[in-house]
Amino acid sequence: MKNKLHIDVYAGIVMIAFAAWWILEASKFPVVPRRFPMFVGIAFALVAVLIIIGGIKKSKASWTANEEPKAVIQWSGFKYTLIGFAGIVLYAVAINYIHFFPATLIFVPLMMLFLRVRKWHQIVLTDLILNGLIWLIFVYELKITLP
Amino acid sequence: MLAGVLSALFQWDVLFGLIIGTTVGMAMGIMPGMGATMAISLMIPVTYTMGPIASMVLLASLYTTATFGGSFTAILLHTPGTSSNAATARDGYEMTRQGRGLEAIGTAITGSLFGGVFGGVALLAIAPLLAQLALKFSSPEYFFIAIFGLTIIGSLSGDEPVKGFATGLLGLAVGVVGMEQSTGYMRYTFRNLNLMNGFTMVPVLLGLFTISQMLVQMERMAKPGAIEKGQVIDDGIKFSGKFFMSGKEFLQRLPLMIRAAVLGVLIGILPGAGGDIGSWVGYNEAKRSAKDKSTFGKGEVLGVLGSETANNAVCGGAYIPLLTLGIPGSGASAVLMTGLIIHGLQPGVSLFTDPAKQQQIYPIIIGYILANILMCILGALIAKKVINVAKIPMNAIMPIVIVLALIGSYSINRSMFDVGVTVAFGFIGYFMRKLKFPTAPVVLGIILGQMAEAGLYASIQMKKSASLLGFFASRPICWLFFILTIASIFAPMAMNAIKKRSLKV
Repeated sequence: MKNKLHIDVYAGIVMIAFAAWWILEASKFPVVPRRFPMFVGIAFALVAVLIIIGGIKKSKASWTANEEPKAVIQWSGFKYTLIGFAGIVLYAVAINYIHFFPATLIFVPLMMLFLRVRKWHQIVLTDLILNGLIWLIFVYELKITLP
Repeated sequence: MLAGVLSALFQWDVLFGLIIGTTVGMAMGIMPGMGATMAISLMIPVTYTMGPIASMVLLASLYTTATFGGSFTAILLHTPGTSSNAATARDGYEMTRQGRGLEAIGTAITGSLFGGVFGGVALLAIAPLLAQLALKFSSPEYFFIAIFGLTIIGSLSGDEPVKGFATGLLGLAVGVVGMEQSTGYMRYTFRNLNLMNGFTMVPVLLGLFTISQMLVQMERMAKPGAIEKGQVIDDGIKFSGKFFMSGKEFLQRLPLMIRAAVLGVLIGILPGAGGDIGSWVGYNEAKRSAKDKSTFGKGEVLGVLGSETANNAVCGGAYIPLLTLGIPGSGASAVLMTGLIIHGLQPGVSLFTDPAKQQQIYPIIIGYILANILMCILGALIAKKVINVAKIPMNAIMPIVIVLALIGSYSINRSMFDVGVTVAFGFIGYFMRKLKFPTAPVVLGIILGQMAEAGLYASIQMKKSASLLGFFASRPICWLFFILTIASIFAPMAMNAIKKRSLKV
């Protein structure tokens, strides 16, 4: 139980890695455009150190109480989110390849089914009304050419 | 000028914006998990082809009505639609349980109307005066204003200001990407032409506020039994009570409403305080001034009145530093500021001194006051039916919100790259929410970082032979903002203490 660190420690390590990369890139810039990103990178690294220190304190507090640090991300829920996110990515890619309206007509019912909406009439009506409203507002009224 | 303001206001597109803003804002305020910030970021793309007055009236209406809409669910379901309505739930829900739900809703409407209109009038009175002061500002002062604005981030970050500073710095980093203003050098673009002008703000906002929220909701739905139709009032409870207070009651409660509204405006002006602190301070004021304090928490109508008056007055107060100095005091007003900039209304002194800009900003402020009146009429009309909106299951709404976020992101530049930006920032925002890193400071970082960098370079050019610190020290207004910056760093602790004290009483 004592081996488990609070998730803020890991977040701080990722932030330091990001800050290091950011500073490395900034060091390649000429003097004037370099100043501000360099300041941002150094400040980011310092804040990351503070977050790691805070995370270590939280870890120690839970060790003292003989508890495991509270997991903020549970795999079961995260897996569900990850599948949902993959659906959103696929939808964005599909818009590019099969155009907006066909992609939306497919995405909405599939996402509703994934989110456990089971009333078929609700799914069909939502899909048709949403696509109709988007056409009316964005294409007809705002004259936006959708992909 | 009045005739010009009124003629600009009473145009079909402006009235349309007013009605849409009020209706959509109320619906999104009622649905728990939505709120003003998400409502504004979702609607900005819709306003893109509209005129600046109509657009800003729509967005300003959204801001105030979403804050008000949250009071319905706070009263009826004990689920505040927004964090600004948490204090309302305390006595409002008790009133509903006692069969006085209609009276609680009516009181919330009266308080919100009074607070909202009072905030709007205060905005009209104070903003031009503050703008006159801002006329004396130059690049060094704007550099310090930006630094002061960045320290607000600590106030927006709840219990862990360090995490707020981290996300604020992330915002600064996002703002750095693209062409550097003084030399034209490309920073962090990796030869990608889409990044030449940096990240477009709206796709970033839609990712951070909307997609990330949908991902968090998805995670909640993974839990067994998470999908419910909403908590319904027990069948045995009668939804009744006197909707409007009598003239005598109104006069008796007027001093409380004035005090709560003044406090709300002052809290709105204070950067980082926001509607949630405003509502608790308003509630506290109602309790402090009451003869019988024992009724609070047990269905006291004055508790609802105090909190709802104050939280709507906060919205008007928050506009004052936003419009005059370009300092957004909350996440929602930072997103509103993006709307202003998109429509060519750069916040600052010129909004109140340039006659052409005056013809735009005053109709927007009057439109905001009208939105408060319209929201109360609408609220009164739908009061008995509103419970049905709160019962719409979240899982049926989520795909709609996702589609609207992606199409909104595309429509700004007609760019699929922006859609990708929204999706990517949605994923980043999800982790930020899970690890309790606040998302609002990112917006402040993007806006104020560019202002700080431009102000710093201009100051370096202006200082001539003097040292930069000596140059700053020679300007009294820089000193003023330096002191305010130091005060702002310690403000979160003071605000938390006020909130805790209000919760105790």
